[in-house]
Amino acid sequence: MDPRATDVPDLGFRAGDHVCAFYSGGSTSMHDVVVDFVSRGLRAGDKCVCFIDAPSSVRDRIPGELIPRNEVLQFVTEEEGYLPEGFFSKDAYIQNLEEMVKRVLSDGFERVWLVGNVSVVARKAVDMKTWFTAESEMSELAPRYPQFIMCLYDLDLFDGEMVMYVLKTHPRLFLNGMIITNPYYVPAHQLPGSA
Amino acid sequence: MTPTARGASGASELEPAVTARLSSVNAVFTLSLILTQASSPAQAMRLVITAIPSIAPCEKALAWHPRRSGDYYQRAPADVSDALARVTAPGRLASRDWSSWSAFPLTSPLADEPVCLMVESGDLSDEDTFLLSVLAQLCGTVIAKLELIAAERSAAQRVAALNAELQSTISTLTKIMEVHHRLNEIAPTAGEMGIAATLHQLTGCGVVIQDASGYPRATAGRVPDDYLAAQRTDRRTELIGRLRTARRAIYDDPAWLALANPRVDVLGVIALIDPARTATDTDLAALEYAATVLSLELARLQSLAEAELRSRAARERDIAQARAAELAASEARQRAILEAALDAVISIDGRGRMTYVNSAFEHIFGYRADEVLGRELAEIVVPPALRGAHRQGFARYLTTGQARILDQRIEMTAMRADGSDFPAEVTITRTGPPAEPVFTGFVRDITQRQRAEQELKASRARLVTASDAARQRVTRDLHDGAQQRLVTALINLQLADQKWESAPQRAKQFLGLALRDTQRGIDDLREIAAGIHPAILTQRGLAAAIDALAAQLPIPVQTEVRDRRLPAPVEASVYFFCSEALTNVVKHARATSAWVRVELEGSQCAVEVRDDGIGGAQPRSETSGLNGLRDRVGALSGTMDIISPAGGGTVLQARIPLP
Repeated sequence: MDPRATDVPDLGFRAGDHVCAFYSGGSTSMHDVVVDFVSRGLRAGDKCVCFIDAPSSVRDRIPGELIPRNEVLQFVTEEEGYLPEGFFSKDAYIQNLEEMVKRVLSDGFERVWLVGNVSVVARKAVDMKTWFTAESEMSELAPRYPQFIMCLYDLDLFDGEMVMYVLKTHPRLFLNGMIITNPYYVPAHQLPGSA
Repeated sequence: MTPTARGASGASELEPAVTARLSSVNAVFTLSLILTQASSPAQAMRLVITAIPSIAPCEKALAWHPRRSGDYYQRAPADVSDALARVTAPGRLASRDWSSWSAFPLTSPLADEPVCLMVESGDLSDEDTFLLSVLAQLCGTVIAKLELIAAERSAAQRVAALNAELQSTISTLTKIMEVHHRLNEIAPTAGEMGIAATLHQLTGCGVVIQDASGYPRATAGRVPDDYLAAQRTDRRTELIGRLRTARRAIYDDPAWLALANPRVDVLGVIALIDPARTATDTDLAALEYAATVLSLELARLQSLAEAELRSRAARERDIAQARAAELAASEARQRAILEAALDAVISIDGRGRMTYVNSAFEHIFGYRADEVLGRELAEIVVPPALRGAHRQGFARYLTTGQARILDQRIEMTAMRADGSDFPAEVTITRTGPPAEPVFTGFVRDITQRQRAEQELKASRARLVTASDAARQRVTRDLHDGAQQRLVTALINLQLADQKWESAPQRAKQFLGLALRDTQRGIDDLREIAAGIHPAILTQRGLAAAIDALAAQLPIPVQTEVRDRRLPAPVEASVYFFCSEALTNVVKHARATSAWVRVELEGSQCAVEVRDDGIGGAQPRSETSGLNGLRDRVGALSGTMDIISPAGGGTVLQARIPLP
């Protein structure tokens, strides 16, 4: 599979992107980013999956013609997406995510747009080292599939130290409506403590 | 090439120290990008100071200001504030106790005591110092931008709030203008009902307009029946007192109330029925303006009513005054007429009691008014023999309405105060309302008139008798006198004619006798004619005629007659008055002398015939000579008096008005 064949140049995305985005000012700002991201994916005819709470806040803002079938847009709560067993497991998380992507692709979709608000990680006091290890591994996994992954971080919940970890674990950065290359990104194997 | 491949290959080619420094530079650069996502200075500063340990080797990072604290920085400890205030460039604090702290101004050191990013650390390399300086400057820039944005946002919010407030105000004003427009338009044409209906349309609430006493004057919309019930006076007074004090609409369950004319006289109250208290400010503004319009409308109506009342009162007063004056004048005229009337005027009520008499009544009947007012008419003026019939007739009229004597002139007998009767002509008319009849009678004493009428009848009879006697006398005189003479003359003429041929001398004697008898016959005719109308009176006047008359009498008669011609009827009456009087003197008075005097006195001719005879003359019968003289004088509206004491001579005086 050549991921580049599934690029969406006009959006600035590249297949296999693992992008972080930051927001502040409450869930409305986050929903704005999600609505924009999902609308782009649906308009491209792709499958979209959202790990967010209060899905109606997004779904109600999506034009009906972009949702010809229910299965094109899937909502999963943050806990179901990140803590399906009630706690965070890096391996289970990555495995589930990969299986979901494969399943979508087997359903005939060419691409998968996956967006998740990771606030639950801070709220549930998930070990940050484990979490960012998972984020780093996701950056390694993402390029293998025609998928776009965007992780949303609330600047009211994550301090500067965490932000620096986010930047180290995401090769691309969604900023002010653009996706740019993150110069501070550190590949997983170069991170301190990596195997 | 993927980022992962690029990052991996770059790191492998660089020295670890360079790689670490490059990573720090990347960290500062990337963090500066993230800072643009911050929503507030505090958030930006929190990100920076918590990220610094990831960028440079340090123990702690803070944000200080030497003199004060803010939402993203703290006030520096007192023992370091002076040193912090003297910071002019990034670097270690010049204070022994704070020598492990470095200060990185967020803005230019030239600025007045800027906020500093404080980092506690061991020795910092030049590169770290540079990166932290850059980070502080970037943080300062971001915070400045955020503050600017916040200020702009605040300004925008203020503007938006002002716009919203302005819009709300405009909307309210628009609604109020509509309220004013509609109420102003409806009030002059539809009055209170229009105001109530319009307020109901504007607010959707039921509306009641009450007067000051609480009685409903107009309603619109749904109004509870019990709200229209009369309110206790003390409760009403207390409520109006509250409205006066409030000077705006107040709520008195279940309605909002506003006072019409709250500062002067309370003209009314307007109620907006609102049991759920859902009325908006606009509704209450409409209520208060409706109260104002109601005030004007009620004041206008009151003014009109007062003006109408004043006008009507003035008109009625004028009319009443005019009527009173007219009535007074009429009564005065009527009373003056009645008082001046020669007839007695008597008014009685429905019970026959006397209510008014005039002066003539007092004169004719001999009563004073105060003696008779209130007493029954019948016992005062009706002779006892007639009272029963009078009372029966009066009662019959009152019972049946059938009147025999009303509104017609009748003659009846009336009774004076002294009980004497007299003939009266009475006219009775009815006045007054049907339920309170008033009868007014006009009574005229006709004693003199009846007497005059009787005298007139007698005079006419005497004139006829005298005329017949005169005609008989003339007939007799002609037969016994002139006729005999003329017959004798005729016979002598026939004898003369027979002897004319045979005995001319005898015939001549017969002619002489015929001439004598003819002359005597002519004398007799002249004498008879003189008794009818003397020729001398016509030819020479009254003085010559009376002188000739006196010359024929056997006693001396002295005359004193003005030699002046008078109207022929007057001269004839005076002549025959004197002739008859002198004849009576010769026949009856046994007088030795007589006097005749005729003079003009004013517009009358005064005649006096006097003798020195035996006196005691008086009319012996209707056909006596004296009555004949009175009739002759009376025929010319004259009067005659007789003065004839026994033994004292007789004087007849007559006064004949000149035409």
